[in-house]
Amino acid sequence: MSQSALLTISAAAMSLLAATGMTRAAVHEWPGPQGGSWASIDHLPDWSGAWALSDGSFQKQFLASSGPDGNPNVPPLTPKWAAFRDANGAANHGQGPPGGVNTNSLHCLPDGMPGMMAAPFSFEFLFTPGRVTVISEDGEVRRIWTDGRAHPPDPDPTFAGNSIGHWEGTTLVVDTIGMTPQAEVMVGLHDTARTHVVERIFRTSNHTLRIDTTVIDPALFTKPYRYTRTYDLNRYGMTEYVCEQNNRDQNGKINLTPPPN
Amino acid sequence: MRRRSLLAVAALILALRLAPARAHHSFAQFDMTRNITLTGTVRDFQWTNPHTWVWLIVSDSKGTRIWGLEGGAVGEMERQGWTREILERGEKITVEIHPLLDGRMGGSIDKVILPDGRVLTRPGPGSKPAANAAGAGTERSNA
Repeated sequence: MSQSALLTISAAAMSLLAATGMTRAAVHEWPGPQGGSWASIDHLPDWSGAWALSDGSFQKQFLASSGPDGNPNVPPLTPKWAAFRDANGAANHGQGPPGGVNTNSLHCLPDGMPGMMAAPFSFEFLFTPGRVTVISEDGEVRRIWTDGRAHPPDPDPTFAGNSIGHWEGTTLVVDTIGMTPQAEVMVGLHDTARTHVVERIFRTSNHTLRIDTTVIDPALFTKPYRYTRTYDLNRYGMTEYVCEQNNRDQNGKINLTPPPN
Repeated sequence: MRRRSLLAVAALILALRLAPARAHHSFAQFDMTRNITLTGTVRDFQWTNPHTWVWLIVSDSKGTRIWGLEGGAVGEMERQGWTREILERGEKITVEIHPLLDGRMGGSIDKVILPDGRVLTRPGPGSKPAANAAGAGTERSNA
């Protein structure tokens, strides 16, 4: 049987499985590049530890969200969204709403993809057969499937989106779609139903990791928005972050009631 | 003319500091153009998220009052050399803050000077771990 015939049959089988709702149950029948057993992931690189967004990348993210326009870190926003950003105060040098830009984090909501990966938190990457799990210090979790499956045809919108990965040597390439429009690309700039994110994640030294990200969304950007963020191995490990623990923001005003004595 | 140019540059720098990064909230509620220095006694140190808080008892000509001073998130502060026990109740410290714009007794911590002279900074765009920060050290990697 020819290769093209096999591909056609596989595609038809996958469509049938998707149509019958069997995709989840059939996961382990499709060992992908990462394989479906512990032995098959032995060769993967060591990304253990907690990875904190570097100071330099925090600076870049700061410039990306605030300008000034023309700075190479500023995303190529379409005029509609550039105007929105200005109105929202994220790019007009602090002259926005008195309480600050309205962001997900202000309401203790997750950033979602791709904004969560450029937040000043630590991240850990867990490798298990068929998937990579990314955990952010703020509690957000990404499940990146590396078992060979495809994106569902119509994923339920979520903050983390639907992520499919594959390994190219020691680089994890991740394709993410299916974010809710509540998710953020960056502070105050929300995803659309068509936001598409591609990441290349790799270590650059024993204590640095890098993510090259491309965000494709013609509604938001005049051309694909590309950026690089780096992460340092954090000697303190992961720290708990529960946003509602002591959230003193009340509609843009800080509650200054001291704790009980 | 030269002075005007300098003012424009200064305004831009200040403006950049006012603009939001990604933290729990932006610094829009604080006067980032102004630093004030408070010396007082630590009433509480809340090692909490989304922000850590120093509650400082300050006595001055207006009487004895409690100030609420906001720091970064626990993880950010930890990477800057802070620890849960670095400020003790009853300890006398000096704090530089950006005061709240609405005039209430609160602010965003810029730095804390401990009784022994050590300086603790808070994380933010462009901040670097203080060279003389106390605690477990300021190195960010363990490789």
